[in-house]
Amino acid sequence: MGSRSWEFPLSLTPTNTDSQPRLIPWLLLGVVLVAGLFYGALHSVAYVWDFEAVWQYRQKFFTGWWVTIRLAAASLVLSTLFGLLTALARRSSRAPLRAAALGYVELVRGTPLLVQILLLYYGVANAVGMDNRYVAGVVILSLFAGAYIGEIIRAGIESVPGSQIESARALGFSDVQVYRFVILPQAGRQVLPALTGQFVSLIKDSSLLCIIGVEEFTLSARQINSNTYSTLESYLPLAFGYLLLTLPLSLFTARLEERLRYAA
Amino acid sequence: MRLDLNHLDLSFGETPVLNGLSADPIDCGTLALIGPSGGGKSTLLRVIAGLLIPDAGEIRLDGDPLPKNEDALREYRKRVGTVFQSYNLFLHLDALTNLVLPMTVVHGVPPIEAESRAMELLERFRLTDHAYKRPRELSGGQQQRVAILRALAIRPRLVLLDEPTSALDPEMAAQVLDMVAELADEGIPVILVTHQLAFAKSAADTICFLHQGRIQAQSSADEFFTHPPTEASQRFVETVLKY
Repeated sequence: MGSRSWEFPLSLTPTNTDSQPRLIPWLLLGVVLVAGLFYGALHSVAYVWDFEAVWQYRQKFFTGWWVTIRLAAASLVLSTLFGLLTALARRSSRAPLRAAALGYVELVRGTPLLVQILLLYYGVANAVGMDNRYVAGVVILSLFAGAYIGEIIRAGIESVPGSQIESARALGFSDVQVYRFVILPQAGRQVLPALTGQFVSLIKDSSLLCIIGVEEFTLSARQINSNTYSTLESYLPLAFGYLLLTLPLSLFTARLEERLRYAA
Repeated sequence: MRLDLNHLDLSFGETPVLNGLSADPIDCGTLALIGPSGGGKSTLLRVIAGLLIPDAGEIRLDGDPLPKNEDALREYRKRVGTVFQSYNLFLHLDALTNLVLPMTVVHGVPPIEAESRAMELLERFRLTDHAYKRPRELSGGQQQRVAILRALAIRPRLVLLDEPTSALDPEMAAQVLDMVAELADEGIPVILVTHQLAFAKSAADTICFLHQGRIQAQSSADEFFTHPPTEASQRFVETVLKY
C-alpha cells in the first residue's frame, strides 16, 4: 500500500495562478503535443504542403496584420471608454440613463456581431455619412465590446466593499474622488482577468470586419487563399499572427495583475 | 465639545432606528455611547459623523447646527475623523498612503508636507515599520491604529469611533484603547460606541445609554457605573459585567 494519500487537485488556498515559471515546461509540452496531433492528422490524409505560392503574398499578410493591429488598438481604447461610460450609466441615479445603458447592453449582447456590423455599417454609418469603413469598423467593434466591458467594469465596481466607500465618504471625499481614488483602482484590479479575455476576443472579432470590406488580416488570408488554392498555408499564418497579438497581451496583464495584487 | 441632540428621528424603510432621540446638553471631552445591539448607537454615531441625515430633529455641535444637504455635510465631514469597526483602510494603498491621500486630495495639503505629517504620526505611535505595508499585511490592531491615525492626520475637531475594538482580540484591543485614551488625554474630543464597559468607565467622562432608539439614561461615567440611573441601564450593566 502506498503511503501517499490522494490530494484534491483544486487548491483552495490562494496560489499564484499566473506567470509561474514551473508552468513553462508543461506549456511547451502542450504545444508539442498539439503540433504533433495536427502533423499526424495531416500526414494521414497525405497533405502536401506548398508554401511557395503563399510566400509570394507575404507583403499582403503583413499589410493585413498591420491593419488588424491598428484596428484592435483603436477599438481597445474606444471600447474601454464606452465600457466605462456604460458602467457609470448603469449605476447612475437617473432612471433614463440606467434604462439606456441597460437597453444598449442587452441589445448588443443579444444579437450576433455579424448582424450588428451589417446593420450599423450599411444602415447607420451610411446614413450619417461615415464613409470610411475603417473608422466605421472601429466604432462598431467598440460598441460591441463596450457592452461587455461595461458589464465587467460594473461587476468590478460592485465588488468593492461598501465599507471602503463609507470610509472615503467619512473622510470628506466627493463622489468623483471616491470613484477616482478608491473604487476604480480597486475595481481595476478585480476586473483585469475578465478584461483581458474581452480584449483578446476583441482582437479576434476584428476579423469579422472583413465582411464590410475592411482589408484586415483575415480578409488578406482569404484573398491569398482564393488566389493560390493553398488553404492551410494561407490560414496557418493567420493563426500565428493572431497569437502574436493575443499572447503578449495576456502575458502583460498577468504581470500587471501581479503588480497590483493587494489582497492576500 | 458641546453636543445637543434634539428629537432625532430616523427610519430605515419601515423600521424606526432613532425614535425621537433627545439628550440633555452634553459638555464633555469623551462621550461613550453604550447599550444593547440594535439600540441605535452606530446609527447615532453616523448621524453625528454627517453620513446619515435624520428624518427629523436637530444636532448642534459646539452650538452650530449640522447641515442637512450633502454639499454642506461633505464640508462638515472633512473636519470629523471617523473610524469604523473594521476594514477602514483603503485596501489597495499602504499605511502611509492611506494617511497621505485624504490630506492631499480632500484638504489640499502639499504631498511633501502630508507625507512628513503622516510619518510623524506613524513614528509617534510606533508604526513606522509598517508604513509601506498594505492593510492585509497588518494585524487587525495595527490596521485600527493606522485608521485612527488617518482620522487624526486631518486635524479633526472631533473623533468618532464605532466599536473600534469589536473585531480584535483582547491584546490588540488594549493597544487600540491605549491610543484612544491618549487622544482623550490630549484633549481631542472623542465620541465612541463601545461594548467595553471597563474602558468606557475609565476613558469617558459622560455615558449615554441607548435603548430602542432613544437615550434612556445619561450621566457622568462615575455615577453611571456606581448607580445606573434607570432600571434598563442597570440591567444592562449587570448583564454585561456578569462575566
